[in-house]
Amino acid sequence: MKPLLLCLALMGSAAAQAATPAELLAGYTAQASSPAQAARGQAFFTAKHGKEWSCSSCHGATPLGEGQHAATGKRIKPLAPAAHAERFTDLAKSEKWFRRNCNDVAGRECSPAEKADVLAWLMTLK
Amino acid sequence: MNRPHRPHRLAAALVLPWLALCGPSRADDFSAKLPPLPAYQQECAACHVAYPPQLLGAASWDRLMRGLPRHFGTDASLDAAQTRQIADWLAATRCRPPSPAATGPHGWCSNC
Repeated sequence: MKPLLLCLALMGSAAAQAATPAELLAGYTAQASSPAQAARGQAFFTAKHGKEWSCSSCHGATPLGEGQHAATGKRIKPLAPAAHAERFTDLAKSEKWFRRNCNDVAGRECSPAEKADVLAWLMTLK
Repeated sequence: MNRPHRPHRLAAALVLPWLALCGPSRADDFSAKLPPLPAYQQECAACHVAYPPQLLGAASWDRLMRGLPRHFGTDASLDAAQTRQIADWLAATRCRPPSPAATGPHGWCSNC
């Protein structure tokens, strides 16, 4: 319960709350009530989920480099924290883009377990 | 449903003539009393240029802000508080034609 409260407190506080990817991962893992699995995260990231795109359609299969939007071609900065220090340092921003992009890819919200898996995998990329 | 689209060409077709004809001097008439909203710049320029609020009338902005989860083929939704903040600012900033006749067929300002 305490990690969930911490997570909610983070979400409810001011917009730009500096955090670390590890802290965000801890929050998602607590919500998921199970350990994150990086391999499962990679599989989720690179698979399609009933719609036209996968996460890797825009971010790349190994997002250490720039991606590009699958429809507009707009360049997207690398998603892996090791390649772009700002990634996953703001919970509100993270939640916003998970909401949007999971809807685009899967037509639904991603579960906390899926977010934890994906983030755990992204953190393994060097 | 993700279909290819090229909003930048559409954007250029819309914005460039407007800027050429109306220009910053005219925009100042609308925006001089209204401070820019950082959230508008931050959120609405994440993917494309932050279009001048004066470009659209109230009905168009309202429709756009209500439809953010289905924004030209993608989900661009914001949380409720930010949506409200930006919508209110747009309502205060957007084109106010002096008369209905001054609004063009697409609801844009044509009173430059």
